[in-house]
Amino acid sequence: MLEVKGLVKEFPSVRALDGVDLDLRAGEVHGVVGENGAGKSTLMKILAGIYQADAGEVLLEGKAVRFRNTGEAIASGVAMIHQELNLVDELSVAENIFLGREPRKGPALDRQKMSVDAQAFLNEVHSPFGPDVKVGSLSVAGKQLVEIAKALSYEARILIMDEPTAVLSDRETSALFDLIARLKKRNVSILYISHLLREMMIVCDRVTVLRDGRLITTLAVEDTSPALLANLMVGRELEDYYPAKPPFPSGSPALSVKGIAVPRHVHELSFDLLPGEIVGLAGLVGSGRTEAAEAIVGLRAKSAGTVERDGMPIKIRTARDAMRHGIAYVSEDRKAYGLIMQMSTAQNVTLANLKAYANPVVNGAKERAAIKGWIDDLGVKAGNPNAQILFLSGGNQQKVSVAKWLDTKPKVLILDEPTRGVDVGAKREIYNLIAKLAAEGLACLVISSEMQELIGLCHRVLVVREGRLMGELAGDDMTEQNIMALAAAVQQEAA
Amino acid sequence: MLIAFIVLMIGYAIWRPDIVLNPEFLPRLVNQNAAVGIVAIFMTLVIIGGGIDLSVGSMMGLTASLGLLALNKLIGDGTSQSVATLAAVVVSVAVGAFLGAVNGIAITWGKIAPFIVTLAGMAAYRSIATVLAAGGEIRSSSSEVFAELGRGGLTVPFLVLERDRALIITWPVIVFFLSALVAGFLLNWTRYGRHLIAVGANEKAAIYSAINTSKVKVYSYVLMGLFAGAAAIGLAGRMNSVSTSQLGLYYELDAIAAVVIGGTSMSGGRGRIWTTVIGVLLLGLITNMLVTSGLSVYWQGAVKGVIILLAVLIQRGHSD
Amino acid sequence: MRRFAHYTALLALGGALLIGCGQKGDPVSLGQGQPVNAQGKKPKIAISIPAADHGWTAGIGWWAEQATKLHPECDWVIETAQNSGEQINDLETLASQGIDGIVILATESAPVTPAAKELKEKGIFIVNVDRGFTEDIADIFLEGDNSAFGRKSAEYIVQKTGGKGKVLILRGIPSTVDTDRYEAAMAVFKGTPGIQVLDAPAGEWNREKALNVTQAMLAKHKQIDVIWAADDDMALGAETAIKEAGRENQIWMIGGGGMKDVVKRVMDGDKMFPADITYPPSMIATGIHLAASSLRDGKLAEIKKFMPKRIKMDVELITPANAKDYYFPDSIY
Repeated sequence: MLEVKGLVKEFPSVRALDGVDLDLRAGEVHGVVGENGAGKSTLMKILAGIYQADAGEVLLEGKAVRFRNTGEAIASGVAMIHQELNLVDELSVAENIFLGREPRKGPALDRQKMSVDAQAFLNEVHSPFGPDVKVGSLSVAGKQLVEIAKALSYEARILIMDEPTAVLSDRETSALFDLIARLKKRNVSILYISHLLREMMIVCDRVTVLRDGRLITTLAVEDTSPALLANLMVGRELEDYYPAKPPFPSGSPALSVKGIAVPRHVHELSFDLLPGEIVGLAGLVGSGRTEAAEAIVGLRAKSAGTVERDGMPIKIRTARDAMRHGIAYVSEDRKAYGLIMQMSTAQNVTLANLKAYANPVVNGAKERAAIKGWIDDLGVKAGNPNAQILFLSGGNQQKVSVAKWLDTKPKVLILDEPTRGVDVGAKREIYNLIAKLAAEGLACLVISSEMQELIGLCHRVLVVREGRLMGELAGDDMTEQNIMALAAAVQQEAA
Repeated sequence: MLIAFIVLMIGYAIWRPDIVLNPEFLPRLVNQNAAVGIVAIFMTLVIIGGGIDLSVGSMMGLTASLGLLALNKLIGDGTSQSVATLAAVVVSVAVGAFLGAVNGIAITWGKIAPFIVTLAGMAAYRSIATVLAAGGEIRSSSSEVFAELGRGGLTVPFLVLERDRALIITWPVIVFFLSALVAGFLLNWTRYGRHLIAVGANEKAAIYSAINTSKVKVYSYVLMGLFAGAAAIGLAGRMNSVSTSQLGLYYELDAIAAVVIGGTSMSGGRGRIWTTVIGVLLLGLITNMLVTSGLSVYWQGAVKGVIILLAVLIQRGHSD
Repeated sequence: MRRFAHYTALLALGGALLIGCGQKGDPVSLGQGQPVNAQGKKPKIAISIPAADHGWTAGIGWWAEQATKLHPECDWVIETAQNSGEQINDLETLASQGIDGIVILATESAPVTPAAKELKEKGIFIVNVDRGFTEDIADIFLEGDNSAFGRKSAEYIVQKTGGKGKVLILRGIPSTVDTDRYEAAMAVFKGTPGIQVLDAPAGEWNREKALNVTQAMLAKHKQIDVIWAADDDMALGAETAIKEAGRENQIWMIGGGGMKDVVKRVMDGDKMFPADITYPPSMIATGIHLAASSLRDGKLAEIKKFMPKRIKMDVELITPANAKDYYFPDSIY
């Protein structure tokens, strides 16, 4: 049906796909698993025409194809159901399905035909709603059905589903699995991406494992297990991928968060952070992790709760207050919040602690010395520190955003997704850096979506769901399954 | 831009050597454009900080009017002309700084877009100025000392121009150069300048970097107002009166044009002071050439518009 | 829009009337504020004028206020407009407010005409001052004469220089007023072979702009004998430039508009300002007075029988001999 040979895709800082092969049979559900950054999304986006491969080929029913955009992919029968659904809320279901190719009667829209035709596709997906409701009024699961109906209306032979259950409830998930089974019978092939290995075992025929942009293996589900898949995903390097954990700390908390709340996001969250401790904060996207961190450092107004430093209650209203009290927060979004892309690498390093070098007049020599110190210490590979930071790789940018805050000499460091968009080598350097900082007595809170990262790095992991602390895991209890069980209600039952 | 200025200057000198090679030409060009130059320099800072100030022209009308009213009141009360003139300067500068703070606070605390706030200021300040003299003019009652603000200055020794007159660097020109130095220093050598660039480039990231963005922005408008007040009282001195409906009229637009010609990004986060100075002089030179050329007044606007666009295009070619 | 002047027999008549009713008036209406017209209520009269954007228009506003104070027997509404669009809006709003009469000084003639026509169709009494409508709408049109302004000042230059000299012209902002003055002056200069017009840059009715432009011109032309400025404001700006260049003994000027500072200079025999041309903003007061006196007694039909429909106001040359007649120290212009 679909065959992929030696696909390569490079981004400025990282080789996302490095010669990946894959074959998809007619009427097959084919799972693709891998850690974040393993290349799953890149592969799917190339197949759906969003990206173009740098090398390698894609054969559709034996013929080489090269989609320049999603339109060409859909025309060839390949449709992607996105994680963020691409529907127009203001339009009806039928209008969304036929968007851009509405049936016409002369110059006018043929609304009746559109409705009738849409109903036919909705029947195929067993839709509980009709073609004339507004998409904006539907639940996420409903919107997903519309997307699938839309794909069917294009006579799609291949559906690419990117984390389709991430946003679904338990019942909605099983309804989706029923639909997938029906589509299979109609000989539709499905590429199914998910983090949830157990789900894979239920819904897929075969599973392909990717790691660091390379194909590891493709297995029939009968021949594998979630544990085996997890090992394959992480690879043999699992042991030394993470640095040795610094000795488990003791003493009184450097930071105590007591019952903080942010309307709609965080509800009565409390935890302590000891000096030298690395604590993970896990939770699904939208669980309130980032909001909680921003509330602690004064970037977001909190409606309740207090923060204590070394046992003393402190008032934090702005990031400046937090900085003064030795609390630093490295944002998850480097480009939008973490760094000033138009400024140079050097200027970004000293931006938060500029007062130390410019009060009010810049002391050039002192500033240059500090910048050089950080660039050397953290191994930032910046050819010219006075060039725009925009041109650095993701990993080096991330080091600079950490350096910027380390320069303020914090006692508490909150890192939000510190390895997002960072290649494997730089990831390791960042893990080593965090371990070293903790060993020097810095209290670290690491927010991450990569459970393996938290397990490998942290002394203990806090799990939040819908803004509430669901539990704390330490030692051997820190496993992906346990974290997931706490992080998501659906998987709790599945596990 | 400097090259464009020099090329234009040489071309002009070849065309009309009698005008350009006269030693009075350049000082006069600078003098005529000093007020717009002062405004443009601080407009550069405001724009680098991600803002804009459309109110500055109207603000000048108001600050100069109040300065002159203070002057006349004091002289009426028997104060000496020098003291009254000093008071007029202080009033104009202080009112300018105050109005700048009003703009800045409305933008930061009020969370209203700079364009809107200063558009409102543009209407309001001019209106208040015209109320002060029923739309007419306010005459200075100090023809000796106050008028010196616009015409007087420091005499350059040993340099004698036509008709045995010494070259005088006028007060507005001195303030113009001082402004360029102050703004350039602030921008390039202080924490404030670094913060201003950060705020203009990415305000969110600046907040996340523990920068007090409101303070940074308010200061840029206060500086703008303060120096606009100084420029305004200089203009009033030059005329020895304030035409409330006209003083500073369209200065904001001339200043923005000069800033843009100088290559400063309208979206903030990037810009230079010295190129703005060149931009001001370039615009002034073009205006001078158009006047000298005797080109119909109906056409001059069109020519100026085309030249502004050309200058920006050349500038872009350089920076990319 | 700009400068004008009348001072004809009509003005003398108007002035006399104005003083007359200011002092005596109608004892009933003034004394007790009683309704006096046929409908049994005070007439409501609107005044639509350009906003004060420079000295002359500020003078219009000032004189309008002075004149309305002399006529408490009428209710007055003053609307000022920045441009013709605003003035049209003003007129449309006023039309719905039930006014009996209106005094209009148009920002620009053509665009304002249709809106004025609507007022006319509602039976509102219209006094048009200075700039005429493009159709015959006004009940009384007090016509300013910008061509005469340009012609008379140019003729004065020809006469004083003996028909020989180099003249610099300072124009205003491109507009009908500016064009009328400039072209009339140019017609005179072109008919005089000895007069050479050097340049005609725009001072934009603005003192500072006029100063800068004059500086450039002084650099360009080593010899300038006379500056013809399209108004007094620009002449004053030019004067500063001339003094800074130290050429005050070589150049004299004539502007126009009857600005009190300039009239004073003429009166005092200043060499730089040997003469001026009238075009005083007090013409609005004449129009207001005519409107009030036509409407206040409810005898409009009778008054219309003898009131001329069109009164052209001549402009006068002010010289040291007659300057004191045109000097109003209390005026803001």
